Amino acid sequence: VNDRRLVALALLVVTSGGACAARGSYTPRIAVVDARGRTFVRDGRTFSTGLAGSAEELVAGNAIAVDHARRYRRQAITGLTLAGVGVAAVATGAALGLGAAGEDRRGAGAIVAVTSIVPNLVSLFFTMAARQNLENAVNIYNDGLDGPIAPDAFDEPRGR
Amino acid sequence: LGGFGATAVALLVTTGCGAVYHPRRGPRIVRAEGGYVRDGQRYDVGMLGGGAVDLVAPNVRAAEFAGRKRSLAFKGLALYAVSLATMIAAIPASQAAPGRAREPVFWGLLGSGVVGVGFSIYVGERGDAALADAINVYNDDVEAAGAKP
Repeated sequence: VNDRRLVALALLVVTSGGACAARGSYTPRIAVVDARGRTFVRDGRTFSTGLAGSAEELVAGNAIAVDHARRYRRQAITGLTLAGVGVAAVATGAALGLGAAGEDRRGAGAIVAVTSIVPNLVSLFFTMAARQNLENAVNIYNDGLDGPIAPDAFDEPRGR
Repeated sequence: LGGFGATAVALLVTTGCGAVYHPRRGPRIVRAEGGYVRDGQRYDVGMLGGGAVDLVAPNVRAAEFAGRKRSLAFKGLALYAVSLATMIAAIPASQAAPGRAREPVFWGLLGSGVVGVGFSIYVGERGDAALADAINVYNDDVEAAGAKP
């Protein structure tokens, strides 16, 4: 029973993500208020995107920002799905490779496990792209509060 | 595999992966371009909080939070290293232990290491939260001072 309690405590510590920052004040600007950059405050309201949740409500009212929020969600869901495929491939490969089956199955298991790198890597790209689009959506929304965004805002800035 | 990779790349391109928005130059701290931007200047904050104090330096209250980020990041990393070493030591320590003690030594050290790693992640996240606090305190004070970007 003590071991179970210890495991439960460790899981609680790992999964709680209890490192929430102090909440921001009442401003129309979006502020990030958690360690993982997934919880935001705007106008005193808290918005959480989770792993692949919607950020459209967060940036509602700014069409360009909403477009980026949609891209973020599509990419986040794709990344998460590919990561799931990758993990499933690793598990399948391990089960085939470690099972008491013949040489052929072990070979196939090793191939499946090694090729699982592909969906895992691609999922990483999607996840990174998703984060970029979420960051874009928030910055476009905040800048939009001060007026239309610059037409060259997506070009590399000069002299920086 | 080739087909899968091509489909993934096509999906990535069509969903608009690469566009980076460069925020308007202003006194507020904005997370952008893989780091932070303030007054048109880019700041990087390292894993151990290096650069965090510089980012919010003119604001003493925010700098305190940034200092906490550094301190917690160091503590988290140190705890992580010790916990990892404990987990690795579980195997040789259990082999060196007398017969009946082997299993308790192995599971005891491994369990302590796992809990330590979990706690180090928590401490690291407290550090990230302190950085978020530092930035929000800084930006709120900019707002309060009535600065316009």
